[in-house]
Amino acid sequence: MNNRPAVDPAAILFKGVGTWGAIAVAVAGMAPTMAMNLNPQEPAEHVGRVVPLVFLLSTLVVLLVAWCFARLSHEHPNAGSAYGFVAAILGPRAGLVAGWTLLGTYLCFVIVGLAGVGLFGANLLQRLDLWRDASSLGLTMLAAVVVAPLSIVPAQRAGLVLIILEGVAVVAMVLMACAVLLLVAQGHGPQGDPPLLDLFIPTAGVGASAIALGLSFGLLSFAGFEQVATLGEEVKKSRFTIPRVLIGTVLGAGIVFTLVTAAETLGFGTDRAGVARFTTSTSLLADLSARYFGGWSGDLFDALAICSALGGALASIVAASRILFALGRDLVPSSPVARISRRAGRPATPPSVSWSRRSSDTARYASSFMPRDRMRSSGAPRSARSRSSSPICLSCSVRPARSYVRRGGACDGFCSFPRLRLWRSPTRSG
Amino acid sequence: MAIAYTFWVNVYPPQPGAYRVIPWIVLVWCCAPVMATLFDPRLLKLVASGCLAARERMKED
Repeated sequence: MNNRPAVDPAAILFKGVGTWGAIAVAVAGMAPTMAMNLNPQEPAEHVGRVVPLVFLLSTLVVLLVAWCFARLSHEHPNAGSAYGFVAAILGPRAGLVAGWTLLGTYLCFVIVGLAGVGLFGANLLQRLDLWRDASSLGLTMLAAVVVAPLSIVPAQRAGLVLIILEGVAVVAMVLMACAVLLLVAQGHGPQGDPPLLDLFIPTAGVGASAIALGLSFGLLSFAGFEQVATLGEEVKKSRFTIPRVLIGTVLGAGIVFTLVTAAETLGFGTDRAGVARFTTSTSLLADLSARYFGGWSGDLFDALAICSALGGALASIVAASRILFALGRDLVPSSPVARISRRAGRPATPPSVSWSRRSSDTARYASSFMPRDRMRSSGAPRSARSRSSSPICLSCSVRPARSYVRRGGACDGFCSFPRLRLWRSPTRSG
Repeated sequence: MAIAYTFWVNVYPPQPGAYRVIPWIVLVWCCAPVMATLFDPRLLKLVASGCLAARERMKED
């Protein structure tokens, strides 16, 4: 551990992810279409028809969590998300535990997403009579094969894939919910007079404990929105963008979840039989759309749920790789997980960076930000150690004025290679 | 307390299928960093003097 090459703390930054990429990771991390297919049944067993109230209350609770993440993302933008936040606030041990457990959570999200693809895929193939004994395990493995190449493309392209996968599904879900609410309001629902207000007033026998139990499933539906915090070192103007994406995603998801669960509850009916149909459904959106618009739409929503699950898995891989990178960068900088693909601008695992000449450049740059005792143990060249008081442009080796660096200015007067962003990035986050 | 209670009801009595194993995997996973830092305190120094600390110091400068 003593003779290791130094890692550029900002190297991950030189391929910026845009705001849409950040939104895509936040939304896809939640996998809202999959959540609306599988989650509302559980709270309905405890609270009956007031499921929309549960999701409305969940939105308020998750907003508090999002606010914490937003504040921390503003103060300590980093690729480790909770690892960096907790380490900065509570100390290194707590930070390490937080980062490691969050990494485990995101790895589980990946497995859940892939398993969701297998589950919905098997259902769809059986319903279409394409594969009667469809193996959900086999389809899960197939999903892993599909996601694997997508997970090694740069974050911007992954964001594009996520926008396509999840955006279409969310738009279709919202349109279907609005159409169902309209049909119910016109008297085509199971009950002539839609009791819209009743969806937000608990019935007799539904106490605070039942609502709290339902809330746990409501909160679960939002899980994953905070994955965007792992892009803290990649998003352009991350201190501005990520907090807004976090809050905006939760607000938007809360409105969508409340709207969709209202449509699902009214669409199935608010009487005892309707609630029973609701709770026993294995795919709420597919069953609801098939009920109002025919079997083809049910198959369509199963297909969209597959897209949503695939997007959720991909977003979780993006987030997990960033946390792994942040942990490796601090603990074992010489390991493959701590390396950067300079061409793609993302953590490179397996190794794709040659450390021959570049490692000396990187060490020289990193030395500008490293404390001297750590630099000595990091294997940085002696020349770099001796010049640690001033950062050096990696492209032309010119040492600009320190005040110039503080302002976050580019080295346009000396050279114009994009690699200049390497030394510029730590100061531009704000 | 909530975490301890949830863990207790999911481990005792043993749950069916994969749920018999999953809580133990989670427990081992969560304890791993705590044990690692206890056995090798250098890890804490590495985190404390890592890139985050360097960046914070640079921000203060």
